Amino acid sequence: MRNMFNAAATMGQLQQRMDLTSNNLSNINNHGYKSRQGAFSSLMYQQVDNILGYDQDSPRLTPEGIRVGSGAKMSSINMNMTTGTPEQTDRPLDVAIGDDFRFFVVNAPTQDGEVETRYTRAGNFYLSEQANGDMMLTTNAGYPVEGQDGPIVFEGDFEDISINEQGEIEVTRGGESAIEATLQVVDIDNTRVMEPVDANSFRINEEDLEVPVGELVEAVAPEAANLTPSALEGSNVNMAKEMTDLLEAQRAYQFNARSLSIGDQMMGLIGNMR
Amino acid sequence: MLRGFNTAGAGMIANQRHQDSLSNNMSNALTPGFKQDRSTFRAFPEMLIQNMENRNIPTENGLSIPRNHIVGSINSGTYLQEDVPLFEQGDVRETGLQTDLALQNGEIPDETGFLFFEVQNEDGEVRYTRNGNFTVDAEGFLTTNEGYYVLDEAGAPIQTGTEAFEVLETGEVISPFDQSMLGIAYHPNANDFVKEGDNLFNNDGDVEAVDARAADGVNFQVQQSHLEWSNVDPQAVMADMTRAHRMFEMNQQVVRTFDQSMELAANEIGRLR
Repeated sequence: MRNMFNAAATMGQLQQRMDLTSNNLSNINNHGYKSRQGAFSSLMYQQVDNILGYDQDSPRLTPEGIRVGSGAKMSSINMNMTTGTPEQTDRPLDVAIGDDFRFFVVNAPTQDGEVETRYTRAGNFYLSEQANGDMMLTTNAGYPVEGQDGPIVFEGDFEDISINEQGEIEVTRGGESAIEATLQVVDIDNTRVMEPVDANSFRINEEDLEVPVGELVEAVAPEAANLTPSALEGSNVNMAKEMTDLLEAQRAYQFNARSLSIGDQMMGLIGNMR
Repeated sequence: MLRGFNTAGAGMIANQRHQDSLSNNMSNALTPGFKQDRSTFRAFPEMLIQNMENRNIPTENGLSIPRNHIVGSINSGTYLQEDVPLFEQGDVRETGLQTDLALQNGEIPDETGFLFFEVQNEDGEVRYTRNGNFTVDAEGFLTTNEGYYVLDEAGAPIQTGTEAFEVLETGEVISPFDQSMLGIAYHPNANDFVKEGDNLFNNDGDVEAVDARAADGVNFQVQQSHLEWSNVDPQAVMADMTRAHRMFEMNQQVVRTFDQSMELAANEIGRLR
């Protein structure tokens, strides 16, 4: 009754594919979100020697026996790294990345109280007031954004603040504006090494990869940062494509369910042989 | 003995196997580079039936002459002989991921000839695949999703260092690390290739696959950011599944009919009232 197991295993995997599509759709308005694509691969094949020698000499196309498959699995989830459309927001603390494979650096706490480096393309930053009245630039989750010289902290009493296209933070005090900090921007050419932490931030697990982070991450000089001030990068989810994928997976699910129920009916026939 | 019992039973087993093969095709309707299996049935070898009897000749002493005559040929059912992968080009779809490569057949001189990407499995052996859903590992090598190295023309792994590399239609990989040609294998009889799971094929025949670029009259095209889709036709598979189900049912009915005859033989013949 291999056909029922094939169908059941594949239905579980198709369910995951639909979950992935629904995750893409729910993040369609999430700034800096990169759409994810799942792809399938066939599962193992078993060699079955279905004839017992007496018909060995009959003409055939393929090598002896038959290869019986056991369904499909979702073998990869890859991110589409193309840059989303920038949306003008006119908010001084918003900044959008214009280049593919480029990220902001965030220091976020881990579960065991340590600080780890995360990478994100969401450029909607906020100011968080420190105990001594200083201001710190943070992400929307409140995690400190990494600058060229560590976390970006400056004195609190200012009149105006903005981020320019090189990632420099211009603070105006008493009518005079000065650059007080610069955002850290990095390029990660091989995004397949990144693990998603939440919808739009990632970590690189050096221990699992056995490759130093320094070889994977390359710092970008401020002059080459190519940021768009007062804008946010929209997600690159393509609604039409996601809907097509969803329908495709749903139909495939239906077909496999049918295959399962045919298998069940065949079992029923065996049960009714006598 | 009622021979038809086994004949119908064999028919049920063969249709069950056919159903297994069809359900696997259906499962892989979304698997890139998948080649659907087509089942072929074959009748069991034919046998001659002889009628053996004795004829009594009414002579004085009584004479019995053995007499054989041939009734005709019969075979005892069918079995599923082969699952033949259908080596035909699948549709090519755009995916937008630079690590997705689609291999498109051009001209092929042999009727059963086919082209494959070359990859290296965990035992260091060459395997063949049509699934170009590749990725880049932490060390920058181009691999399959199972981590098998994709090989170049010379049979060495390809290091791109990044997922932002370029592949030309000729299969030339242009990246900051390696500039190499993707290894594309051509085999004049792809039916020698057996499926191994993870979309891999193993060459089980005596003839080695050759470099497609060196083979006479072989053309191909590699398309980056595209995948070759499965060549399963869900409608055809569904129709075949329904048919295999009914064939199974009909064979089951035949078994039941024979069973009823057996019942009569067991309970009615020679019954004393």
